[in-house]
Amino acid sequence: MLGKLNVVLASTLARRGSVGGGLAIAALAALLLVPADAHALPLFARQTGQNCIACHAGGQFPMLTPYGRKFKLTGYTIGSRTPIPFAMMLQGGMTKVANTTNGSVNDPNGSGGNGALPSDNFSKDGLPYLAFASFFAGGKITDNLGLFGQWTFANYDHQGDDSHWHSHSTSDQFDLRYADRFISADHDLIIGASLNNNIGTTDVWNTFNSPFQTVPTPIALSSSLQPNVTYGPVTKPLITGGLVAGGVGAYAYWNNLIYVELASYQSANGVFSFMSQGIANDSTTKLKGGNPYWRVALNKEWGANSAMIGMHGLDARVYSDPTDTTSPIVHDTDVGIDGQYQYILDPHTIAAQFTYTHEKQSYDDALWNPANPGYLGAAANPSNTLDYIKLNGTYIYRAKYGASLSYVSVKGSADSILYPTQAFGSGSNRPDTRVWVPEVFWTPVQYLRLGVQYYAYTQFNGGNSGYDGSSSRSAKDNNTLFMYFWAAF
Amino acid sequence: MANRIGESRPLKLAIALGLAVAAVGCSNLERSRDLNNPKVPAPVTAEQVCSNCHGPGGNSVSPNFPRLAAQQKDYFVAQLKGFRSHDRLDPAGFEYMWGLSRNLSDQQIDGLAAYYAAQKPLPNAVPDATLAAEGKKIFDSGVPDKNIPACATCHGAEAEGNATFPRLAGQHADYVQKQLTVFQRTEGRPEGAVMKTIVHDLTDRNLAAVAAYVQGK
Repeated sequence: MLGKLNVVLASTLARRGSVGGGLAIAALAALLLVPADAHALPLFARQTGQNCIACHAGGQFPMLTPYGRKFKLTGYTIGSRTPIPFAMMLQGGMTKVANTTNGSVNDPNGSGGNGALPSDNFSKDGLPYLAFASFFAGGKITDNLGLFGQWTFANYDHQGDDSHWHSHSTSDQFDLRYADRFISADHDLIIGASLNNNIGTTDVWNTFNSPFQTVPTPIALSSSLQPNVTYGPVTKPLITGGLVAGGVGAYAYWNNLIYVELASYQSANGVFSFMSQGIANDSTTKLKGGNPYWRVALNKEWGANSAMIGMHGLDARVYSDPTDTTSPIVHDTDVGIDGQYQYILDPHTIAAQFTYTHEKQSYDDALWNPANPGYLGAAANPSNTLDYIKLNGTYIYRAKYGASLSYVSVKGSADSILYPTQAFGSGSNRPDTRVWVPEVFWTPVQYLRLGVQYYAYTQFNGGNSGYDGSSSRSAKDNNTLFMYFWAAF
Repeated sequence: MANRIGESRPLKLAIALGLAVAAVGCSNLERSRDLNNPKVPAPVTAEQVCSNCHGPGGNSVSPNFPRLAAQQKDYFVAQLKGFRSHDRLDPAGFEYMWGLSRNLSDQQIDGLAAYYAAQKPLPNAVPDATLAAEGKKIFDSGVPDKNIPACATCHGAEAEGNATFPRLAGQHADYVQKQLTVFQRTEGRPEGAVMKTIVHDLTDRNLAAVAAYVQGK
């Protein structure tokens, strides 16, 4: 039945000329037709032989269970070294934006903005497509060494001069760990070191680091494919956004109670360049020297419950021009508090997370001071602040049916150059954005998730009605329906 | 420029050192989490791997995972071998244990059984006193009207278990109740066929009562 339905859908899409959509549906059809008992499981599941539900709360990637946290902290070394240390992940979907015709920066047809045509800005609006595929390699290497390596192939990376879409592959998440564990009846100490390429990749509580959040589903549809579809605030603190950098850090987890991590991040070039392969030089954040990241957490488990409260921070000096390591510096100081609660007892999984991060951005004189001979005019103020809040709650029944509600908010200081009316689309020159994201999902088999989520904005770029300062576009015009499938095999 | 080279040198050194340590430490039998190496001693596997869910010394915190402290050796061996052969196929078994047990040797399974049999069980709370009192009656005397024998007959007066009959004292009520349901309604645990007959006529309330009683035992 499902097969027939998908054949019909695929042929419909083929008639409409949506090759990506056809691929997506065909992939989905193939997955649904795989027998339920097939051992087509991702990398770590092959290594331990366990179901996804053992490590991922309610079976939903990537949120970790208490056991999943230990699996990661002990360096992905539990189990048997697998003869096939590879896995694949496919993501695809469809977005539908509430209003694609009215406004300036988000649809610059007629009233200013970035000068692009509407078809460029919402070129796939309402059409399904295969967004990207990820390739994973790693798992247990030795008794102490393990790897989580991800490389991603974006199906619609950019549009060439001939208007055809071109694909592109890049390094994605990378986490090579060395871990040891000293445990006896009355004490337990896990220590480890990590070489990784993204601040927060190492974290096991899935709170403040966007690429490892479970809800809202962080499906990164190519920004060039749907440049003006937004999944939450446009501006976020550096620590929350998936910074590509070379990091070396160490951590300790004592008695399942106290976690401490310290790391230093630097530009992913030179010896670290393998972790930013495929990412354009001018798209890579360039950091001056080593930049400290820290994270502490207090964890408690009782009955079927677990709770964590923690803090995270980053002190980063970022070159204002990624191609020029003599360019003036933006100094980002991020400090945040975050927490998680989980109740996991078959058939119920309940999870709630919160994070609050405050960022102070201070600029070198040349970036903001018109009196400076090298004035670049990147900001109007000598410093700015950003306050980021994310709250979410999730319920999953039988690791199959789930619903979640998230709230994301960013509030920042006004800056007429950093957030210019025309190019940024803020009449008040503020990044302030608030969005609610309800989501429902279904996991018919453990390696396939289908979901629908809706981004409902109550504020966008500092305003509501006419937020961009040049049209009547309102925050809710950016509301976005997002349907997706997410598969791993 | 000199500054940049100076900055990256310690990082290069750290990576080289890390890889060297990793290469030397390919096999670390005293603290290994390898489940496909018959040389890893059972107590090491118990501490490094099993304790993640079953708790230190087999006293698990989460009711998702059964307590193993002081469990009967024969029962324990039969379960692990049942997971390994896929004969035990209840969800708790195949979701978590099939994979972990697939490459364990008989000797390692015997060693794990001996390790857990020797652990001291910690007391578990009585979840519901009224329910537990009902459960005690069933546990001690069975349900004569339905010809259901007392649990104590095989599992011992103190629910301590006996050979292939598992220890139930202190076991999480949620786990016990779910397993009783597996016996009653599925063929997921063929080695416990005798339980299918015994619990056949017990009501859901009866199952919950017995489970509540043994948890507080």
